Amino acid sequence: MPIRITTNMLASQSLLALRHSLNRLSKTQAQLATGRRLTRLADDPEAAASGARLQSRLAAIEQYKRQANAATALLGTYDTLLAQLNEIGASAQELTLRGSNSIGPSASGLASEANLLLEELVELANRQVDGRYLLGGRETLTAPFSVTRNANGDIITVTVNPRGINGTITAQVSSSATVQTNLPGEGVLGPQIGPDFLPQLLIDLRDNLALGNSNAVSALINSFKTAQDRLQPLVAAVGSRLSLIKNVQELNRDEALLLQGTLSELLDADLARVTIELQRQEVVHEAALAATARTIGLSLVDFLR
Amino acid sequence: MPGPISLLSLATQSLLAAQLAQQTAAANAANAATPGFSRRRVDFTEGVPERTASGFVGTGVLVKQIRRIRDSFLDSQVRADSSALAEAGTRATVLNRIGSIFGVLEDNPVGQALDEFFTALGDLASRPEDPAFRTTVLIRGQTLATTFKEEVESLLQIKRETFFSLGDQVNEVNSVTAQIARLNSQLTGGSNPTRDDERDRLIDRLAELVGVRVSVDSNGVAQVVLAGSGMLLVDGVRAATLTLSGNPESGSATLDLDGNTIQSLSGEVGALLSLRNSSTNGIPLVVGEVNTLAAGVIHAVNRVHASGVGLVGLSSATSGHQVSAPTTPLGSAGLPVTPVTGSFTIAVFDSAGAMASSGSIAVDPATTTLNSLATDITAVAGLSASVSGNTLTITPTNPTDTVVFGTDTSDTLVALGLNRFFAGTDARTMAVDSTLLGNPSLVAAAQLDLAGGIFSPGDPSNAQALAGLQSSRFLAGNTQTPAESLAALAGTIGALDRAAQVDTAAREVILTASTAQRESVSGVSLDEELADMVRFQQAFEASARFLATLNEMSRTLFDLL
Repeated sequence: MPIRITTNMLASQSLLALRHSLNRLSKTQAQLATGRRLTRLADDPEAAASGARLQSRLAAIEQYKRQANAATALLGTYDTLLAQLNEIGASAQELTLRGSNSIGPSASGLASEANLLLEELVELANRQVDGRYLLGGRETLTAPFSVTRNANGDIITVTVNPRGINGTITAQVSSSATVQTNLPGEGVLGPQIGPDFLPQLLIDLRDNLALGNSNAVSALINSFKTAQDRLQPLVAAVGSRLSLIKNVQELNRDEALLLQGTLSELLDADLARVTIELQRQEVVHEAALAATARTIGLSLVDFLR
Repeated sequence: MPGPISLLSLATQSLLAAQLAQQTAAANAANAATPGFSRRRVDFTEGVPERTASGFVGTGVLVKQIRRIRDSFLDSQVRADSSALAEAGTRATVLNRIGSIFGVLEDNPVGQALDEFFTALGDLASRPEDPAFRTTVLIRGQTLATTFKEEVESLLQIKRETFFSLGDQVNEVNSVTAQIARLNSQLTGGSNPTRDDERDRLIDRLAELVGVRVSVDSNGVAQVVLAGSGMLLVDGVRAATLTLSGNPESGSATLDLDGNTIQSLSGEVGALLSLRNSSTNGIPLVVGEVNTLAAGVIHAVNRVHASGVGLVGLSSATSGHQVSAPTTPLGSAGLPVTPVTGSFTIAVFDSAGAMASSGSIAVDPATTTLNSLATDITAVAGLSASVSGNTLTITPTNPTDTVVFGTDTSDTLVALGLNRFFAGTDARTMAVDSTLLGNPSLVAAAQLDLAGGIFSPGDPSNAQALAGLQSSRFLAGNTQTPAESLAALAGTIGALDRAAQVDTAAREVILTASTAQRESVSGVSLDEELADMVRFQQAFEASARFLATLNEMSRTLFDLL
């Protein structure tokens, strides 16, 4: 014997079916509207959890990228600084050659030229970028080179910050790679208590030119050469650090792309599939509505008079 | 031989019977949508036949009784199933709310705040001397603390609401059981379909609330017991009293039935109680995990921060966490992090930024007390340490000097909360240390160079170490990064939520089937009632016609006179 179906059963079964169908429609609609396969944690907790892990790795890569960008910008300023120092060194060498060959009044003209170079050097040595001294080592808030001047306003001594200007600063540019982002002050201009401390060489050059002491001037040639030679490896070092950062950035970018791809596979809705699904569900829902409208309206009342 | 008078009464009786059946059909139809209503049937029986010389002859129809159509086996099935659905559905509703607090992926506020905090630290590592970057780190730290706090407050809010709805439902249970007891007391004097329906409806509700088993004795009195524990809820005319006790937010909530604690419950109340109390699948689990994560982040950040130094040293350092007593060894002094055997470096810097003195303080958690620590620190030239109110304060003896902390292998600094970044010990109390907020230059981006006797503004090493925590597995027994830990937490919540949803869907199917079975027996079918209506209308018409015929017969007889 068939099961006894009552009016209420018909109605509640139809409503239940409609509710399920609407639920599916709303889920599909949410997927389309957000472009996400997951709209709630409960939709797929495992995918949501691994998605969150991937996303945090992306965030970490982003952090490295920012440090790497800052490091690139900083190293770029060192590149410029080294080029300018190189020019000063070249001019100083030329001046030394001219000075060792000329005696007399022309030498005092050369002396003032040397003085200009010295002022320019001190200015460069105390170059600040964004409020920090490039050649100060880790002591970035203190001028690395302090000068004393005589009554004429001429620089007579250049002293290095006693707290040291050779501290190294590094940046973390990927999870495994660190890059030194500064150049030690005395590595660039030479140790203060050494024979080829560039500011002192220029002071000596100026003073000897002023005195017309050509022997002393020509004695400086080799020291200037040593000072100049110091710069070349530094330029190369900055260049290689920049290219290291560039390589690391590329690796970071590749990893980020890979992560984004996986993330998208995990979380993004396949729009084509979802759209087709939506159409299918629409048809099903319409059918359910039509069936409900026809069945719950059926009653013996309509046939009794 | 039956006379015309008895024929007349036969016709009247059948008229009445048809009318009664009509009325029942009409009442059934009228109650087609009434919850808990079971259809009624008029039971007819043949009138006692009269013996005649030719044999027995019928005397018409009698109405034996009007009864409701009900199957107690189906009732108990529906109740068990509805109790299970109510339990699963309540869980699903609450867990869904919890899930929405955590959001999906980047919608997760704590995850976002964590990423931004570490990004700010990474930026600081690029520009350790920049005050703007220091301030950003502080603001991001505060945002992180606030987000943690908001998240745990939302969870606690749900926890409180769970407690309050438990209270409401306990009241409802008590009111329902009292009504059942009252109906039990009225059941003497024969069955009453309306009262029986009402009682069954109340028991149905009780099943949804707590899960019950029912037995009805021969007098029609219902005994209601809790399905889980078999404790008596309604014993005849007496209803037991359910009471809820405990704090809305902390500790466990308990339900007592007439003073006896209930161990297991199902239904909505059971679900709410387990959500409120359970540390394996309830709200306390989630709150606990959020707090563990917050505490992990607080201590890891503080551990690195404590061994660092800002742009300037500290004019004084006060421990942020109190010990239980200054004479208790640090290992058992109730500190949020337990110190280990090791040592930490402390140095004094003069106003010119030169290191005046330094010392290494050895700590053994089993013997070192706060008092002995103060003594050891005071022994370092230029330092004085004092203990008051279970708190340690370290000051340089020369007021223009500053204190700087170095490497700490003993965890003492983080345990005591010296030179910390975050104050607090869990999600609710987490905040950026107020000293730092007042002075961003104290954000420890640099590290003490003990050998060089120096610390420098351009040194980003500590900021780097802090930023490196983003990818460092310091949580869950050194297996998870903060984001991984958060992902695991979200995964746990998602899985609980999903399980409750799947369970609800399954239970719904089962309940739909058992309800359909019950409805199939007890429910009103309008078509059936209409058919009955036509049937009894015809019976009524036949009886009326019979009466008319009888009338004519009588007249025929009278005309003979």
